[in-house]
Amino acid sequence: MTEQNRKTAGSPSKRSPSKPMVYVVDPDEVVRESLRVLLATFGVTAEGFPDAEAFLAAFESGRPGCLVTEVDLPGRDGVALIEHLNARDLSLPAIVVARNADVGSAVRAMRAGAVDYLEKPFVDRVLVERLFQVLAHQSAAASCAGKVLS
Amino acid sequence: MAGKSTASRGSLYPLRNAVLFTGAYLVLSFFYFWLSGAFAARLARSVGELRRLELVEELGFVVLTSLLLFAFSWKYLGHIADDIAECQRIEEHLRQREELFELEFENAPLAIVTCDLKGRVSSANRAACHLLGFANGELAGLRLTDLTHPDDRPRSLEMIARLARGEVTRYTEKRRYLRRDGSVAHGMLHAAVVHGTEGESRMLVVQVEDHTARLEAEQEADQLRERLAHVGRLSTLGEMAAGIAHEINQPLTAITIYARACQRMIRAGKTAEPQLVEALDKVSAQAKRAGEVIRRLRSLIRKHDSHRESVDVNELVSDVVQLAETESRLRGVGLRVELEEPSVAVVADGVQIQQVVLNLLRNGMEAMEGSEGAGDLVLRTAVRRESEVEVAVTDRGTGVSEELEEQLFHPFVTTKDSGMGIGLSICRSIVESHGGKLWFTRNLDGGTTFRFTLPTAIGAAHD
Repeated sequence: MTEQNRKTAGSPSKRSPSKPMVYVVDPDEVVRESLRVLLATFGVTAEGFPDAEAFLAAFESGRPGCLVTEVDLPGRDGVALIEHLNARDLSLPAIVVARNADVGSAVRAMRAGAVDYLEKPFVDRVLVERLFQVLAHQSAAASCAGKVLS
Repeated sequence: MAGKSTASRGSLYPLRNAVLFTGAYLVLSFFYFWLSGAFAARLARSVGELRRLELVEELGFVVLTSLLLFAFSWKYLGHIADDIAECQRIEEHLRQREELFELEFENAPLAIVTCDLKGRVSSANRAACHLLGFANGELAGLRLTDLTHPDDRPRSLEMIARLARGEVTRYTEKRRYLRRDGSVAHGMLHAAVVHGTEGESRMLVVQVEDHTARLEAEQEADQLRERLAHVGRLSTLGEMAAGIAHEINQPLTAITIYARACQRMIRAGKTAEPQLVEALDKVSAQAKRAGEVIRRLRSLIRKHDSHRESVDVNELVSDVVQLAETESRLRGVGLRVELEEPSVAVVADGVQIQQVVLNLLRNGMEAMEGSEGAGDLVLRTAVRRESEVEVAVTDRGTGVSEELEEQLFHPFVTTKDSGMGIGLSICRSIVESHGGKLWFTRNLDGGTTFRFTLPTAIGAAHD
């Protein structure tokens, strides 16, 4: 697993300070599990949470990663979660997936700063591409920051 | 009898008859004496005076006897005429009554047939001929059992025999007959034995109520009800579209993802890994899950000839619960199901009853939407007596207001933004056509409970 991470992580010359983690927040266990398995084939670690509260309890900032969240969550919904993270200045790029996609929630999500909004059943290729864009961007930014600091 | 006769003619009879009798007597007497006189004249050539005296005697005899005869015939023989007149009167009266009776029999609204103790028709009125499609008079001599539907013949034979033996004096039963053209007539039969003056069985009288029209009307009502129910189901499904789409979406999403993961694993040459098999298992399971949703939907979408069969009530209800669970999760309403065991069978149209349960559940959810933590929506089945099952849906919603109560079961009345509002009215119609009742009660601790009953398979058999 570790070798794969090294091979597929964004920047070729720099190793990220820690492995990127994808957080999947979706009440459906099948969705969480299937995404985890898929991302594993890309050498990306993913962890699943059934709702926003479970995620927030386990989340530690400072680690590169990406949030993939469903809109329809019991309790706090996906967009509210993103807004919450923004308010706390916990910058974590987010991709929103929705089983009941509508314009209203899409606009809210994008306004809250989501990287993308996908409808279910989503074309997994698109999700994976977006994820890698996000992670690549993150590690590029990190190496920039590293360059600046050093 | 004589003195009481009121016919004016009667009082003339004695006089007339008396005159006739006496007249006849006199004429005969005259001839007698003329003949005997001629004879005696020959004899009396020698006895002169004696002849005159005898003549006076004989004349006197004739006069006296005539008077007696006259009086006698006037008093007594007049009665004979009276009797004859009375007889004639009675005969006329009977004839008129017979005519009247004939008319009554012939024109009675009910089909009436009289037959002998072997079931052979002796007479049939117009309604009976009409019911069976025969012309007047064609039924006489035919056997009643030959006119009965083959499936009902054994029973018909049995009952005719029992009536004839005197085991039964009368009975009523549903019966099917075969018309002359071969079509089936449905009727309700009332049969009775007619006894003679000594109490012996003389013949059978059979009346048949024609139920064919009623049956046809019932069938048409059933068809209309099913069409309306179908429309109701489609409307419900439309309202549930979001939930249904989700139910299918989730497994499809999972299938897509797992399939992709399998692809990548295979491309990377990792065909031996257990994760590959696991992922394919998941694909299969999720496809099956989606298939199940479709299967449950299909029965709701289908328009079908309403037909009743014996179904297990708990199974029926459980199927609906699956569909309702998604909605309940979407709306944030908890759903609790309490099914009484052991379950019983009901004779019902499964799709229609599921429609009723689904409708009640959705109504309950709507009532409870927005009131978090108020408790769960509860669905219960309970066996009440051996012959009845009760299904109850209890919600903790806002309840039914007094104004709404009036209108609740009227068609086209709804509190929803979308929806045609035929839900409760068609539910009640469906339940009632199954022989049950649908009603609601207000809960003491808030909300409403809608209940409906269905006769169990055992209960229905007693009908």
